[in-house]
Amino acid sequence: MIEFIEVRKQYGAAVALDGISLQVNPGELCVLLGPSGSGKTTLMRMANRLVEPSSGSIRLNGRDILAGDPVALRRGIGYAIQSVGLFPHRTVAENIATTPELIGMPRAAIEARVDEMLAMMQLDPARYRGRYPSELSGGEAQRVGVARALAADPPLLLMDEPFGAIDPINRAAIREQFLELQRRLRKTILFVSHDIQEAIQLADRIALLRDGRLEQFGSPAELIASPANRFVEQFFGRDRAMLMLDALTAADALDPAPAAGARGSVPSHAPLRDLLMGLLRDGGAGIDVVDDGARIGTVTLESIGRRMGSGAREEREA
Amino acid sequence: MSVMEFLREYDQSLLIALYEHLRLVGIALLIAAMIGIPLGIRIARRERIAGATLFLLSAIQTIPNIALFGLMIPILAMINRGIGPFPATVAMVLYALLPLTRNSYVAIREVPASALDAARGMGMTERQILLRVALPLAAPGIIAGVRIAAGMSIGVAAIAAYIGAGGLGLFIVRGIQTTWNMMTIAGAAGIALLALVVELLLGWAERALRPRGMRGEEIR
Repeated sequence: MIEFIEVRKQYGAAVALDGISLQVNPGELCVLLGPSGSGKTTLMRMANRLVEPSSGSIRLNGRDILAGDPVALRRGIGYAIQSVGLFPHRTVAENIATTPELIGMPRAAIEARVDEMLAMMQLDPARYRGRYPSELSGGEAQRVGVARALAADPPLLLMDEPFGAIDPINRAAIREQFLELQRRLRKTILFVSHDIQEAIQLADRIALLRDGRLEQFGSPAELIASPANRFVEQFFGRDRAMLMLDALTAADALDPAPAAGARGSVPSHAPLRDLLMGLLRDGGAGIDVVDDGARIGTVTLESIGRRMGSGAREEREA
Repeated sequence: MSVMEFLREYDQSLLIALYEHLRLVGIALLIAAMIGIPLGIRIARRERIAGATLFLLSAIQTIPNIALFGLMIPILAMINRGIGPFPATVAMVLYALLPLTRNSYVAIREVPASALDAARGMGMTERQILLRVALPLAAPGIIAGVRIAAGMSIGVAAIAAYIGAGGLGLFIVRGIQTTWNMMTIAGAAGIALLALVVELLLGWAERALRPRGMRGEEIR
């Protein structure tokens, strides 16, 4: 879908990105993770040519994006940023309509689209359409920002810490909502973050960057279980077992045999941490895992223990 | 002679002077705005050129009115335009450039960088960014510059009577020359009244151009 090939960016003598190669598949959410100054935002901004690489190439669906018109390119890519950047002089509806208007969508279609986007973000269109950004809470503004990025239904979405300005309590909720949405929409997403927890919760794959270099690229579980080097290992710190519980889902620790006295059921994408908490709290023998209405297995304390114990070994061997 | 008698006697010449005054201010302001506003917008993203430009315009501003007129008489005399409305207009344009340029510069710089980044990232052309995002947000600040420039120009135009530019300043000059207070006051009061009316009108325009959603207390 989007592919960075030996991308390098230099500002004078300073190297911001040093030979990054990265391929993000269609429908995949890739978190660009790293400390500040690691180049993650620069890398993301290259995908819509807000930053031009010094060398290397970038392909979108096999086409070299550096060859075409940057304005046309940007209109086909969703863009949401931490500071949101809503236009303060335009209503919520006008903000969301920005890209549909730029690409010349008919008026009626735009209006319908705006309502659809607001509803999708769980904002009542009747109440929010006519509001101005100054009349929104931080969380509402960020959801409008995401709605605006999605309005023209772009296959690729660039998100630079889009939930950064929200308080921690609402941030977890909005992330969960966003993940729910992504499971339905299956957009290809480049998501910049410096928050390990956020990266693990959201990412299909994490690209961990430091000082303009790609240190490791893989699933959250891979990075935690088999770090490529000491930096990656230290980055995830001492809480690796806990992080692993976040990175793994119910599907990763299934016991196909039904457990007698299993209580409750969860979808297969539920984080293992939630299941462990549930088992410890309620003392049930297991929790059924259900996909599309059918039970596909059960998670028990033993199956979690097996997965956590063998996880590291398996990942290392793989 | 009573005030009423004075007004009856001089109503024609007062009206003509008012007209001349307004025309002088209007033309100078129009020319200055056509230069100053685009200039301010252009230099907003160019730190060093902006510094030099604003320094130069500030330097012009520090020259006293009378001195600038005095300077221009010999210079513009070379093209036979040493006195009259022409040098007055030139001087007023020069004075008005600073508030117009500086206000436009500041107003554009204060447009939130995040809004500009979002606009560019969503695929607006540079022209669309300027017309749809930057200018609407900067408009009140730019109009504030016009207001300051207008107030100043009305004052400078009063002095311009000394170099034969006409206007309400003529009443002041004549009143002083003939020690006729009534005439001096008529000119001075006329100018003050004019300044007040223009100030009120442009103040209203400034508020009207403030984008909805950014009017602070008016928000529900």
